[in-house]
Amino acid sequence: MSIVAAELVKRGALNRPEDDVSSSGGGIDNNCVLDITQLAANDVLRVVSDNAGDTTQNVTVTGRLASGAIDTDVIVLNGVTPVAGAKTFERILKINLSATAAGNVTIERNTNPYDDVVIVPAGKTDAAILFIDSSSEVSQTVRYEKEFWKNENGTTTLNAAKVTLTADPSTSIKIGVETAINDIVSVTNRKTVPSNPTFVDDGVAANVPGNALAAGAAIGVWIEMTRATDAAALKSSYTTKLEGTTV
Amino acid sequence: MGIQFLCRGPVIGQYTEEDVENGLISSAAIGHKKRGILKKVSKAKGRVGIDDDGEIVVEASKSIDSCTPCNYDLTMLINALPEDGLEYDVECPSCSNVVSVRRGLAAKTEENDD
Repeated sequence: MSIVAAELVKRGALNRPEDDVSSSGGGIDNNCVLDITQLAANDVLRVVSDNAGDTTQNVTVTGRLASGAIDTDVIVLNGVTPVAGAKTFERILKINLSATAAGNVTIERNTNPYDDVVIVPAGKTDAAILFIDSSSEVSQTVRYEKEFWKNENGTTTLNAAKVTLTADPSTSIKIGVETAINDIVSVTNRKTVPSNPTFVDDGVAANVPGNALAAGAAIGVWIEMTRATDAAALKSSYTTKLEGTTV
Repeated sequence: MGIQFLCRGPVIGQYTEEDVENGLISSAAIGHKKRGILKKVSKAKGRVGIDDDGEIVVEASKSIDSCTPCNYDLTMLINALPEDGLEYDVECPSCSNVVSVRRGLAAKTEENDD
């Protein structure tokens, strides 16, 4: 069966640091999606499932308030009825479901037209961004965190597979493709340079090792973020892409 | 297994609404850098016929700008760089796109250079 775009998914790594001392990277966390879209304006969030039976899960939203403080908002799912939170966020850092849901859980702005922040697919529990709480310092700072691109098709290999950094509006990102499929490499902390990859900017596409990503396989992609000395505060994003051919 | 690096081409502008309308990209790419080698292509409107030579022809409604990746293989150039953790620029011999690269088993940040 041919691979469709929706089967090429981005997932988090098991070690997602929120400081500069915790380990970074590791194997794939199949429960974590990395598809958060930031708020266009400060807003309260609301949560809703597409399955009426999802009425017990707590959705914990972690983000920054307008003051800059990191805070959490716990919202209890009520099936297909949207439930609004209580706190107004400036940006979203991560989202956690206390248990898997039977349906897809949409976390969205509580202002019409209710723009999606992220959809946590049925059976998954987490969504996150990378480089949480990463400030600039008195010297240039380079940090490394990891994401995975996975081929979720059940039978078909993605051939001519390559990974590309397609958008880097802040010109602060490079990507480094791991040298082995399904790797579990960690670094001591996110300021430690991973030893395997070569980091490149958005001018190059990097082939997956062996040029193929088998059904169910994932390729680790290290993200390098550079902040200049005493750089101003930044709320930005980057985009990576996995592409290839399918029968 | 080594990683192969293929040039995407130089920046030639930004993706616009028109690129979305022409079916070249998704709306998520609007405002992002457009990279590649620019080509004029004819976008067919759908009228099909046979010309005097018996060839099937499709009426072109307009010419649009399409860009394709350069795809020059930069692997050897990138792998020839020292593994010292410093940033280097690699210029594509085919399209002059300049790529920023950092390699290194012995990688070190500028902070460690002091």
